[in-house]
Amino acid sequence: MKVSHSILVARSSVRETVHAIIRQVYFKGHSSNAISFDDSDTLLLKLGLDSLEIIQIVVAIEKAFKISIDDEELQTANFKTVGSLTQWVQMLLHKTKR
Amino acid sequence: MNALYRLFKDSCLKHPIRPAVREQDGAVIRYGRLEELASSAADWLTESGVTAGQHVALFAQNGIEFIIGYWAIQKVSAVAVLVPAFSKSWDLERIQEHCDIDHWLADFSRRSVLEDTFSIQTLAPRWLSSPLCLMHGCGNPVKANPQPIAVILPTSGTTGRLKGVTLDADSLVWNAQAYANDLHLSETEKALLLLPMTGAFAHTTQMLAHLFTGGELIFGPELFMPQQFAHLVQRTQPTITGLVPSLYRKILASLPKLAQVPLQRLVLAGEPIDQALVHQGRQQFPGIEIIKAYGLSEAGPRVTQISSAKGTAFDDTLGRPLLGARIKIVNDQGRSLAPGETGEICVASPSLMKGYYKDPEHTHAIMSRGWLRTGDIGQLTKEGFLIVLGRSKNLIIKSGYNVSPEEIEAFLNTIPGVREAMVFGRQNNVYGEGIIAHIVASKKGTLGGSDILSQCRARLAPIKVPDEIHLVDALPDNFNGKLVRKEVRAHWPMPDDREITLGRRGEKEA
Repeated sequence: MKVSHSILVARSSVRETVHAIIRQVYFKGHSSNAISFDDSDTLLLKLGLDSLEIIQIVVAIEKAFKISIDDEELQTANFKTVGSLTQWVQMLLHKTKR
Repeated sequence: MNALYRLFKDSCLKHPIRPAVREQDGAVIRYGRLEELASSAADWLTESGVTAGQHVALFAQNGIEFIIGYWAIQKVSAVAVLVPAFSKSWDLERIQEHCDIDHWLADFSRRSVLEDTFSIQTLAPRWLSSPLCLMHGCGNPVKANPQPIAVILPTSGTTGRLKGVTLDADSLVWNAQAYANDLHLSETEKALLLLPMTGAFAHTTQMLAHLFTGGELIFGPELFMPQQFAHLVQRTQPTITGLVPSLYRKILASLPKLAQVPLQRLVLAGEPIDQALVHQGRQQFPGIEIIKAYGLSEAGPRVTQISSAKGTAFDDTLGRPLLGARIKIVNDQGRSLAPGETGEICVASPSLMKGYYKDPEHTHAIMSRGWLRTGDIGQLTKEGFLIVLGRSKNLIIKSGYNVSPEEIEAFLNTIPGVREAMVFGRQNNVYGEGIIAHIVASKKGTLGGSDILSQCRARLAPIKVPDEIHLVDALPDNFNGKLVRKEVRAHWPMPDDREITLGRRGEKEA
């Protein structure tokens, strides 16, 4: 039970960090908690981010989680929604640990 | 059926089994099948009440739905109003109102934006694997078109209104063909589309030009990142593509070398072109011919272009006018200037727009006796090559899109708590130019940058969202537009002149 609990905590903090990064780019660096995201929110259509802002998100993810993301990993499907982005980061962290 | 559709149909009859469009997932539609799909969509439009001369807003991203919707609209001789795919409520409401939209034709992903904006259910017949949706607008039955037109390109206009560039079928055919002839395009061409077909660049010089010559259109991904360029080119094997310089700059920064690819030609247009960037590109991608081009939506769009195969004239100029087009340089009084003298660039061409929709005042301000005043400043060389030096009109060119500061100011002024706003453009290494907004709140301390951005993100197309928001105590006393804006841009103190970078990837640019 203990183990699964720690995984749960780690996952939720990954999620929080990813949301915080999206929020930062969304507000162009102005600090705010004025928006919360659903996993189903699309980055392009719903949030209205553009491709260059999504690259800013990738760069911020690399810094926050101290990982290096290869260009080959930048698959469009991973950037579809807030949820798919979070999952992708979790997958990357999992791969890094192994 | 107009001249545009006739030419498209001729091409379909001539190349029935050649691929016309290719999606990212590899799905291909051949010319013969494309004509069938466009025809059945046209039947559906007719059954749904769309008639000749009505305005149909086409709201779709690059893809098969766009192409089918577009040709269906042309087949019924309606007018296609091309709506940028990431438009939001502010943009859509203004297009509806200003362009007298009778019907909205959207791809499936855009349905909810439409429904939220206009609170109406769309009709969604499934005649394709992913359907087009139709919604009836509240268009004005009396249209302000003095003559038949085929396409309206809504562009960012001044205070409270947008400008609809109206183009007829003959103008579009002329421009697409003059462009295609100049580059000797043929049916062997495979064109990678990375820019939206709602803009004149991709619409006319890619979509129309290649379909008329039997080539293949390859649609880039919905989300294109510069890092993906090499992979995309390897996978889709295009022979030609078109980019705006700011995007090209980022591709070069993310990609040290591009070797062994079938990509032969790359067309740069839509923004000022920095020769140092072109030079860098030729070093990095030595096998690729570069075509530098000049044009504007109002001119059809393409006016001049020049290939890197042309030697020294390529380094210094943007080339000579395309077939049928003429250029003159005029001074403040409208007098023609000699080669080497600097003035405003004016264009005459069979491909000029018919005018701004419902806006004779702005039309007459820039068009008279067959000449279009471009608002760009430049020179002609003795040999007739064009040099562009700058622009006099008040416009921000962000990633190749024209954004009018007045439009953004008008939007910002609708936000509760904003007393006044001033917007201008400033060079930035991400978008070419960024949008800077200075805002005075009605009550000091009650409004934050994030409050303003929330409103912008929710209601404005992403390209129009300001890149920097500065809350200030007051705007310059005599703030009343252009001149002041220019002065402020030059002198307003910017704390540490914040550079927006792309971090790791952007650093390679330095």
